[in-house]
Amino acid sequence: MGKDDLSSVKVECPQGKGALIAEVLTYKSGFKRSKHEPLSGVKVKFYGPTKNPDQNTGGNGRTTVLNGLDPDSYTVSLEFTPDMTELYDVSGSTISTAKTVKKGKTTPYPFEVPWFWIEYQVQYDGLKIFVPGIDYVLRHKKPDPVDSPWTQKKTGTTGLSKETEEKVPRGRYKLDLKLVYEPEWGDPQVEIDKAIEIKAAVSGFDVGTDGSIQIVDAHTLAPALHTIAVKVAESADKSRRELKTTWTPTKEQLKDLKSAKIAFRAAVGASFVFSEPEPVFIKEKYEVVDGDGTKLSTRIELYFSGGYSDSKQADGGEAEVLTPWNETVARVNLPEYNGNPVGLDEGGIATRHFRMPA
Amino acid sequence: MYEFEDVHDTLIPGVVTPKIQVTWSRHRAWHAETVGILVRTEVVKDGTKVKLEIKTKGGKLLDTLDKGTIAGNANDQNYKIDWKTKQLKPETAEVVVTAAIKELKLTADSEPMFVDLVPPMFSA
Repeated sequence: MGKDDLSSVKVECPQGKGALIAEVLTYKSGFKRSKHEPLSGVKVKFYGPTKNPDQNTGGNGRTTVLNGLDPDSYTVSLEFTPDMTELYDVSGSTISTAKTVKKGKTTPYPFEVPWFWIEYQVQYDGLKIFVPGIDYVLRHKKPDPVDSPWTQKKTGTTGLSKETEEKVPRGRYKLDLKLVYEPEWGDPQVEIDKAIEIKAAVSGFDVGTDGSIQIVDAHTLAPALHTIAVKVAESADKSRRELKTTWTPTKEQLKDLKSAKIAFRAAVGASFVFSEPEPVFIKEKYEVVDGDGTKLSTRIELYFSGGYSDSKQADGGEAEVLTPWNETVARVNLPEYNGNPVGLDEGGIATRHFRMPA
Repeated sequence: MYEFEDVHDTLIPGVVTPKIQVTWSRHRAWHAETVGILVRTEVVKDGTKVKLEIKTKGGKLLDTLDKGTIAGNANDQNYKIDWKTKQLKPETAEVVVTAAIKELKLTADSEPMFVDLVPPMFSA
């Protein structure tokens, strides 16, 4: 026993009388062997033949010594404020004890009430590697009533170790990481003047929070070619939050696009994610005529400078072909007219001629 | 959803899934040209090293670039196609780049880039 143990407290008792002292200690719930701390401010009530007024535990967790007690059985009970009941496991602890106070002795009444805590950490899936630098919100929900709302308890940024919050209110806790992730294009390619859906999942941000979707050249991440303001919203099936919009790209918006691909950068707060690049196409109409100007209905094959090719059926001398952004026709072929020369008049530049394979 | 929930007196283990993607800046290139290799990541901290391996579609290793690091979920590198010493067949090669972050056990392959190894010949 250390010199500060409750059992070591000695006081002079009047002849034939006894004494008692109560002490309330607290410790981390589930870790009974961890360091104990005094718990002040707990109301202590005494029941026995010698009446004494209630006391509150002091900074050392103890009451004063009650002496001059007639030897007999005395019950000591603790009473906690509602706030303390939230932070300490009162219902799971012994808070009332009956003992016999003997003459000439000081009888200790020790109590231990653990505190509630919560710990959280963020690691990579399947790896024991902490992920630093992610902003988060820690939310709390009271156990009673059942439909209690979630309230924000703390915000912070993840570090290289687990976080511990001691002496927290009982209830459920939710760690919301402020992330934007899973960017998704609605179609496998982008076409000028055709609407396309853009979305990304969001966590940790409330519905209604401002976000943005920037359209960028896939090869140069800044500056943005076009920016769309979007607010965080619940998905249609309510399963998650997301940034979602429908965008109809125009030639004007993409006039500074140097490559043939764009990506989008979905961002909320400091969190952002890049989508996969998507090729951009523009629909162009081709007139297919023979040397006399007669409109042909035939298959047309176009090979573009970047390696993309497309094949379309021309009907009544017309075919609409998706042309990759910033690419030119490298070769044109009409399979039903193999072996013949073909000319390509692109307007504004000299007509190019190709000899189709035999 | 990156939202993790539990009751008091427990450790809430948050888990995130990092991702990586890599693309060539070009679909097609000539030998001796410089092309871009574009790496994009999700939930990967800045400063994480990324290794790039350039290989033929058949798996023959042509080059390794291992000096890049992720910054702002991205790492872009220029790469000059110079395979004169690689003893490749003089025909169009399909080449892929594999991006790897060893510590996170992440890898991704690009779509192939078509490289014409022989300079074009034009008629007079």
